[in-house]
Amino acid sequence: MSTVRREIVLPVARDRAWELLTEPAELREWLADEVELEPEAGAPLRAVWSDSGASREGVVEEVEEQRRLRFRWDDGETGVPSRVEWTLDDAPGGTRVIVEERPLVPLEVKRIPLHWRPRAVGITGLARAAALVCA
Amino acid sequence: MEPAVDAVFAALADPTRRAVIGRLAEEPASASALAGELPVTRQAVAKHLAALDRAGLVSPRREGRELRYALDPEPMGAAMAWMASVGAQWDDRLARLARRAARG
Repeated sequence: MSTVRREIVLPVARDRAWELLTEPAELREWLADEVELEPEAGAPLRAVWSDSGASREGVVEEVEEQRRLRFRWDDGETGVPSRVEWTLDDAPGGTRVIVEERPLVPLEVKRIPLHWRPRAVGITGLARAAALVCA
Repeated sequence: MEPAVDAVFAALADPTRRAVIGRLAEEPASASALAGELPVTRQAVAKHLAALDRAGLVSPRREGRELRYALDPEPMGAAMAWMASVGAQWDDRLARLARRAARG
């Protein structure tokens, strides 16, 4: 539940796709404006988006060369800490990249950014939210 | 399923509307400002905002001469709101990644 999943096929071979996902110079082209990342379990990770001033810090948790990179990150303040996993696989025409991100805390209860916190929710609202989350 | 829930699902099914939600999660914005930041026309943005308004996900507020839209995540619930926002971020990032990969 509450997992965001995206899938994309990049028109490049696995080794090139791995570079795009793990080299800071490449990550700065697409992930964030500033990126510190080393594909090594336990390595610290940092991403900064200069237009919004947002940043996230975390740690690399698992690395399987050219196959999988898992990390968790958190903005330490308003955001929800979450775990992200990138999985690479051969696909016709290139390399399939699957991105999954899931929250590490129960979302309905706490640590929701202030601007997301639902106002007094009536019974209908609760039922609606429940229907959506369970769907 | 009540119609409101259908409207929320329909509203979230569209990638442009998810991008609009992701942007409005940062701060309220006018249709013109959104059109300037997203790869769609102001007319298209207005249409998407109308759909989000019908679903109860955004509400317009007049500020001076501008109509600014604010996100109202209540119909989604916190989990759906998080998923919509995080999903919109990955849509953006993966679009940039695809462009980078295509450059070789």
